[in-house]
Amino acid sequence: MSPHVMQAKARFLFIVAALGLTLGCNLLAPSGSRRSEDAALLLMLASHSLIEASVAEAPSASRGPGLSGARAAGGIAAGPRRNEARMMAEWYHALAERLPEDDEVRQGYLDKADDYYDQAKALDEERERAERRRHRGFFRWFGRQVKNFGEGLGRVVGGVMGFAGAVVEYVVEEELPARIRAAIKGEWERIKAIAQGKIEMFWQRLATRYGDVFTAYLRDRVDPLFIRLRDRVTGRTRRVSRRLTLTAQALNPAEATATSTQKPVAPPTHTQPPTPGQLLSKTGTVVPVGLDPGLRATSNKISITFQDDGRGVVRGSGVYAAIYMWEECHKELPTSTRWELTGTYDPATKRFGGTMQEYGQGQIAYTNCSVGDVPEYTRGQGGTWEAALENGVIKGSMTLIQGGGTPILRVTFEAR
Amino acid sequence: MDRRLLPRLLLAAFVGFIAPLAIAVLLVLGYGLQVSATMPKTVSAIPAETAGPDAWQLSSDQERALSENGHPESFAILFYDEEGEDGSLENVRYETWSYYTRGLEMTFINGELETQTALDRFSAKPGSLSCRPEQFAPYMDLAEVVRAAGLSSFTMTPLEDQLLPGGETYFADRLTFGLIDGELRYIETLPTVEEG
Repeated sequence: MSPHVMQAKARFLFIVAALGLTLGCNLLAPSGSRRSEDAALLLMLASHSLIEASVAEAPSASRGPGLSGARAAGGIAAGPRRNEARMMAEWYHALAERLPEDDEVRQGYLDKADDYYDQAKALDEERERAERRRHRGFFRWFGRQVKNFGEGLGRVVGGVMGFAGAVVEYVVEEELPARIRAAIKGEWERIKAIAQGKIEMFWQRLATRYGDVFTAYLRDRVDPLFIRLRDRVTGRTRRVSRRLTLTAQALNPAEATATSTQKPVAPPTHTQPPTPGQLLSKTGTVVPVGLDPGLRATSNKISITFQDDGRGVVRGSGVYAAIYMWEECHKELPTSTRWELTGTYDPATKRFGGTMQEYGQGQIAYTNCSVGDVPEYTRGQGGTWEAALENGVIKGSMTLIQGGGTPILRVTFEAR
Repeated sequence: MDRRLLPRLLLAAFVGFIAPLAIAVLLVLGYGLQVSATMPKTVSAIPAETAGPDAWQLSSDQERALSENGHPESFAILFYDEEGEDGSLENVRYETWSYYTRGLEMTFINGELETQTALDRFSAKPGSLSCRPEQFAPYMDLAEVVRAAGLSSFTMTPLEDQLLPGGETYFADRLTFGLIDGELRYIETLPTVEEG
């Protein structure tokens, strides 16, 4: 090829690249709404899903035992890239399902989930379109021409991007997974001269994170962010106390006494304010509203541990066990309900909030009056809890959510 | 040749040859720029530049975490805006520091320790990170991120408009990050560990 022709080609490709960048810049017009939490989370999900897809496509020889093991265990999904918008939709949906039906944020989350489902559908269609485009001969050829524009022009484009001296190389879609793998660990491989027999912690993290536990991972990771968002949007922290007061008033004191053989609750006493940063543990009893109290309660206890400066995760556990009478067979059957609580504490407002899981176990009587054991099982779809600290006493309530989002049990408690 | 014929010939040449060629070139250019804008790119051989001063002042909580546990073995930061009580927008730095060998993960919001959770422990110690959380600030541009992290190369993937208009994800040495409208919104290190 003559120098003249090469120069012409170079000029042509430079114009193509420069115009491409110009258009790219125009598309990136600033927008305030793109500074939301969701946008940042979508970026995180996009990064994770691209890495996951690149790992899934890795040839077995380059995976190393860690990655092979993770894939063999089913931790890392093979196949196409996940739809990040759908993940957000499912996430919002799951969050809404965990809220009581009268929660003012619940509908907002459901609406958001619907929006993300629509977005996910549009994204699926776009990715299918792009895939079809890639498989067409001309378009594939064209993409490769753009990619192969040479190092000289790559340096020019690098300069345009603000990296004078760097080389920009366009990557066709098929090469992307290998490029991502190379980008992530290329430097590490070079420095430490690793080849085979190495295990990358990140792949193990992926194995733990993704697959069946993916949503649970994300939920745990960013739940505080959502709780914070919800509180900010609704001013919930200011309302929690009012709701708790109303809940307490709505409770029938006579029923509360009849439903349990719990120890009488002592009147609140003034306690010395704890030293900042102190780890506190408070224990008390629960009042299961709407639950058959049984013949007699054999255990009724709840404990909550928190740091009084609001740091760390608040943890709690509770149990209500009772003996029930199975009338048809005249048998007494033990049954127990157990709760695990996690959440946060805001020392400024002295409010708690978080999620809880309820477990049940016990014995049942069959139609022939034989008795069988029911091993511990998870009830409903988890739930929420909230409480307030007043005069050293934590007063609060837990709500279990069943499928479809209906609250099925409200339990109030006091711990001192 | 009749001199009056020349303009007509030129016009005919323009209409019959130059104009269609120009249109074809424009179409190719248009398609080329569309393709190039949506294509992933690898940028390599980035000249080394000395990183400037830290972009973020560690909080007292973070200083305490540092003195008790050392530098995190991995970290992830999300940058976003949230509405304050007076309606104004505040920058939020949502930061997670992970200590795998200690089985500990700490979350900070604008430097304030928010939660502390248990992690599955790793017996092997991950390789040291080439960058620290305090090197990154909200809404840095790409050049600033590259300089702060000391990157010599990266691969960038533009995200679909249907997913996140203006969104781009980047992959580099033990690092992934994301920009929206050219501003840093997410960064996470990818710890690696040698076995045996």
